[in-house]
Amino acid sequence: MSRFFRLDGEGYREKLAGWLRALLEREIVDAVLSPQWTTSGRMVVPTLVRDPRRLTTPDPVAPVVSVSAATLAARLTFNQPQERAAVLLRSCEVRALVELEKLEQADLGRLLLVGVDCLGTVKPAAFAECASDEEIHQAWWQRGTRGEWPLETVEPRSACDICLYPAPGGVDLRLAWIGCPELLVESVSPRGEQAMASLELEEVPEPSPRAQLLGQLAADRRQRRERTLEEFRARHGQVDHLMEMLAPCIRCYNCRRACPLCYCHECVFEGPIFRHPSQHLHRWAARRGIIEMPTDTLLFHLTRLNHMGSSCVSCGMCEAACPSQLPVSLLFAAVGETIQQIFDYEPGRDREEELPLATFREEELEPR
Amino acid sequence: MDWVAVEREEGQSPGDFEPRIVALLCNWCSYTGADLAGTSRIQYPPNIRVIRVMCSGSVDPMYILKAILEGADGVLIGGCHAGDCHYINGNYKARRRVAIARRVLDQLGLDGRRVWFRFISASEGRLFAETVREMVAQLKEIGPNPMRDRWEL
Repeated sequence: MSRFFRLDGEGYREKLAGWLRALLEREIVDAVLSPQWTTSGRMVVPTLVRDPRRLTTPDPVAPVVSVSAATLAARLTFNQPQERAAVLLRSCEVRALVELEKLEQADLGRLLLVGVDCLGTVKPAAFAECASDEEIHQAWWQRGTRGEWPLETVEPRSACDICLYPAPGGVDLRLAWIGCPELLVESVSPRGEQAMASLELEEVPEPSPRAQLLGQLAADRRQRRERTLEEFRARHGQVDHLMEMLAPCIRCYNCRRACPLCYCHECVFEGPIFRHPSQHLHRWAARRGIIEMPTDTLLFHLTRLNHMGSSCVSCGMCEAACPSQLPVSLLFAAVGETIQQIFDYEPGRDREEELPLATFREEELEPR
Repeated sequence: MDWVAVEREEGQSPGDFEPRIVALLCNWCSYTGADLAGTSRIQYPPNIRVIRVMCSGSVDPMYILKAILEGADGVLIGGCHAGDCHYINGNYKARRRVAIARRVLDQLGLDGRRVWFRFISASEGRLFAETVREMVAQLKEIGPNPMRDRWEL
């Protein structure tokens, strides 16, 4: 059962900062992980705040993600911390964090998960170009709350364009603004209820357009996602196109570093078996007459698809990190979805669901 | 990882196509089964190059993909029968990994039918030979792996 609360304060900034400060001051949590504007006022970056006075410019609505907060939140749970932290996460970040928990690389026990409504984000470079704090928020409260992409000069990242989850599920609290007249906090779990209990905020009914608007958005997005992935599959379902698409890969491994779910601490591709002696390169080149350099780029992407495709949450951080601008997020979304279908698995959907690659059934997948 | 000789025979017509298969066989069951086929003098096509692994569950999909990208026409992974794995459940995990590898290959136009996973026990020399025969026949129908001629890897 969800309950909505109105926050104290004048504008969006005061309401949000006031509420986060209260969480720290009332010792409901020891720390807050939230995006904040930098001092220059030109970029929004993730911050870990313990001193409530330093919560001056929190802004989880500003449409930019430099690094998946799932990775950061997981790091906050490393080595059995005593501290409790409230972590502000977009839907893709919540789902990635749930997958990390299943991989035993995150412990949600001492985290208060605060989901944030999200209509999509842009890359940091595009964000720095696009707007000031005021302009963004004006657009947000005029168009964003109606479910329309609010920025005129820049499009959302391709992964966001086909995201099915504008409002994150599986959280304790939700910062709701889609279909809301102002920023509201929605409590959706017992832990969330408990966190809100001592704050004595005014409870309000769910804003009437919200549920319908979210439903409409999800339906539109699903249609767009299916169409986009279908087009992508039709094009890249042929080897020629696949190779053409991945040809500019420079094997920088940025995609695997940016991926919140590439879980190996040391990637096999960065280890000694891919540091080929020159004799090997010459032998391979002699055999075919020609090889592409650097080697193993196609093998790298296909292997990553095999390792991670079942857990890919379609956050698109891989694509944002790619210097060659390869459409890797669409590749993972398109192929990942068909892998997940084998096991009727949806990454991040349910904390109790087992990872497809960590379990098995006695009888399945026959005939082989 | 120079597994698959991909030098092309000159003047080969499609009818003469002899598929090359890389087989990754588990030490305890399928490899011993292949050995039994040999010691029992059961005939099977010579299209297969066997690599012994300790468990089918130790086969990272990377090795399957490497073989396919290097031009192998087929990859056979052999493991113990259900319930017989010497490492408790490696064969079940292998079955899932192979299902994913096949799906990935299918999605990208590389034909997942080139990758086979079979349970073959140490006493099943005959089944091993039969499996190789079947696989060679199917690969002949599918035709040569187009990756053999590609260098943009």
